[in-house]
Amino acid sequence: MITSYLHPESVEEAFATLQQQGQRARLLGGGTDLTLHTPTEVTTFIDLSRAGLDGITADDTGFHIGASTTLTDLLDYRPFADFWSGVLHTMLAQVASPLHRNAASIGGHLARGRLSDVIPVLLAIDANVSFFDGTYCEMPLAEFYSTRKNRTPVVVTGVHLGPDDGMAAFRKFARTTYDLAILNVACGIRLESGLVSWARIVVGERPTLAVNLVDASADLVGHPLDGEAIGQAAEKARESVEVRSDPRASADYRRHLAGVLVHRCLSEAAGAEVYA
Amino acid sequence: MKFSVNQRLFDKEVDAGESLLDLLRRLGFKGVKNGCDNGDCGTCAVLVDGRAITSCDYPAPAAEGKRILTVEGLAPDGQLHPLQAAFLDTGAVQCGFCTPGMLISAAELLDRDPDPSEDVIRATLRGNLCRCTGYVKPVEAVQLAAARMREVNDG
Repeated sequence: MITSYLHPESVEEAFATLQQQGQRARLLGGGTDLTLHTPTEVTTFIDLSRAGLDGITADDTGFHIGASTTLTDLLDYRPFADFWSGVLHTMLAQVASPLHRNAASIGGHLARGRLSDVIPVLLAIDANVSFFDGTYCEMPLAEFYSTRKNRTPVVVTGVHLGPDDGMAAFRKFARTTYDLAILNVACGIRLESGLVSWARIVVGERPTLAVNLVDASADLVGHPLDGEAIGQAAEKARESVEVRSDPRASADYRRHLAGVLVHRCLSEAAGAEVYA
Repeated sequence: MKFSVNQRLFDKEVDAGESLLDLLRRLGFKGVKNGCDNGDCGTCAVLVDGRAITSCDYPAPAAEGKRILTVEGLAPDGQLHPLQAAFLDTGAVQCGFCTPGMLISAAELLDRDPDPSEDVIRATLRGNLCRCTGYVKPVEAVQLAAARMREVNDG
């Protein structure tokens, strides 16, 4: 039961409160998830909306997105319409409904990780996450998740997107357009002289945290992104992805979806005509 | 905590764990419906500082200092909002339970985009679950209201 609701006015103040209260406190972004699924031990919400974390800024290293920025603000941000093939725009338009996107923050998605269409895309376009753990830090998002078990709670302060130097695509499969994905896939590709120089194939809602399929991605490097390479990558993704069953779908079903959606994502990134 | 609802100022004690939905209904704004209480159905939608949100998963203390508009606020002096009139005229209301949320979502849309396409209207209303109409009439209603509002504004 929530008995205390705090409005810290700085990241430092939010972090100090979080440290002081430990497991009894949770940081709150838009609240769309946490208010409905509050762990029983939690009695304090630390609302970050006044901590100065909203807004998007651009500089010569790319874009800095504050953690309190809502999904609607991201969707409305014009420079993202073409950024990495417009993948952020494509994905955000498929997240729940405007009612949800008007409240949900990117920081909330980053902190939770799962049940998100946002995270696979951020992983696929090589995003860095910034956070405060007593000092301000920034690291690749994939590393942030792979090391977070060893980390005490931090205040996620935002995302840093690098230059617009790649192609990307996103696909999700859900029972209805409004539902959470049964499985989602994002891919990011960089080309040099017509050959793949860098690739990410990310599968989310497995239903565990989204993961980059390292082997399937590595196999693309050094080859043109043609039908043969895409077919092989999709098959490798299908074979290698770790999936589980839950009430939403079986592991077998998810494995099949992974192959299909990876094929469609890579084909779309390559500019090929794809069955919707 | 100070906030405004339909341009009326309030200074009320608010429970730390209370939802904005519960607060508004406690204050008598019963046009804000409690449907799923899970952020899914959209009938509890209200505008907070001009943005439509589901009030069931919005903490009441987060509304401190904010401007809230409920469906009652669309017709402050008893004169129906063009959206409300259009919902009546097109027969977009059947059981009516989803209607307050639909009106709020549509009000935000028309504020942002006075001439939305059918696709945009459908994408906007997809967070307001309706089990009666199949959305055909509500979409027509939003188009009609948009046309009427443009006519007035273009004078």
